[in-house]
Amino acid sequence: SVSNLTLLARFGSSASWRVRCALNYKHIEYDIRPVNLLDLSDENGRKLLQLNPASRVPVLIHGERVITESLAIIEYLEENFDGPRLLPSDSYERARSRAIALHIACGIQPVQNIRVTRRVNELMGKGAGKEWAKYWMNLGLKELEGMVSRTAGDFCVGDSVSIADTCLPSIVYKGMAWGVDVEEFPTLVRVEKNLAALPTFEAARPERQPDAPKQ
Amino acid sequence: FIRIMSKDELVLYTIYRSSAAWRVRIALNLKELSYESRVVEWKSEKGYNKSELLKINPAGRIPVFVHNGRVLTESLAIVEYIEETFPGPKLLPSDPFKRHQARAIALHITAGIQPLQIGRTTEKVEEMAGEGKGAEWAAYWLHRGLAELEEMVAKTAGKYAVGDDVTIADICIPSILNNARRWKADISAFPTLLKIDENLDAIPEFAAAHANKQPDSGGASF
Repeated sequence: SVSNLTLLARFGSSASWRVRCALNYKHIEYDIRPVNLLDLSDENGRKLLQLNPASRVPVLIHGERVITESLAIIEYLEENFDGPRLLPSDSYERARSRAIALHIACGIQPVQNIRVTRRVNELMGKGAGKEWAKYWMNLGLKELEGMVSRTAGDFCVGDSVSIADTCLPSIVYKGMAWGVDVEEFPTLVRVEKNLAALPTFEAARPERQPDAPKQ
Repeated sequence: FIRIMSKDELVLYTIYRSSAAWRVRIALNLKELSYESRVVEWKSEKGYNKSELLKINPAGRIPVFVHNGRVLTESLAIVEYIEETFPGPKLLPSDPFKRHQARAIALHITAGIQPLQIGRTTEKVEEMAGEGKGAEWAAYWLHRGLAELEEMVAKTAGKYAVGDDVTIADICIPSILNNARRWKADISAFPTLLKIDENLDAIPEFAAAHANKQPDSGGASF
């Protein structure tokens, strides 16, 4: 690989999806090594465990460096690679884009991810996980709509793609999967459509990944 | 430490026990910034109550940081903004990889642990699973997340979380360990974290930001 970058990722992982958006948008070449989180016995799985015992994806390997945490990976890409910018040059816009990304990556996603819903089902009975996830998605997306409606142009912050946008497609996708009526969030729907029209973002979608289940 | 009197208008909407506000208080102290602290009293009839907060932040979350009329939310976004905007000690290393490591630690805390044990999450657990279950839930996720964090910092720590300079990673540590103690998560097996916390507590700018040292903590031991 030209840029000696390898991404350990899973097709459906939201955090992986964010990083794929960033890599693609910045036209950074990378090798993808899909990981099956349900069975880490293959070569990619073993590599993941070696690098990240908590077995979280994504992990970006840049030469000797092991880079984790999706938003930290994106900031690393922004600081160490050329290509279209993902952070606005205006400091206020930059802060607002980061705030949107953080609200998604810290405020919504972690509360309804698989390990949490699994535990909810264990503690509160089968089906509770879905009720839990839908509740947090509704609340989180409502707050997100409030934030993004104040800043959005064609994209989350004005008319240029930024770090906030790398987080949007996956959270809208997950919201819909949990049965949230996303039409209640018109700004999010509008921006998500604009992002889906970008080839770099389209190529980051789960169904476009090598480990996506064949239809 | 000395506050720099600035022509900038800085306001922080805060509550003593908010971990996210605590992080921003540390950053403001480290940069020696003078700011107006607006204590939010959610249920109060007047002052900085729920309706006032919702005007400035529709999501109703704390903290909100205002710099010359620019309204900012999300503690890590605020800290990065403070780092970029104001002079003073650097809150991020200049080395690209160490810089990454500091952010990764901060995000492991703010994404991987914090949201799972905040009040609104544990309250939902209690509503769905019954009284007392919120505490169990919080202790579980704190223990699990801090075990992972101990592994991370064991690789990066010097005197502080990443080497021997204070970074954005350290800014997130005191409040999450305080939460662990409050929820009775067992942190005795995390020597690196405990040592870092001890070292941070010796820094006046960190000590002054502690939840128990705020005007609204009312002498409480939080």
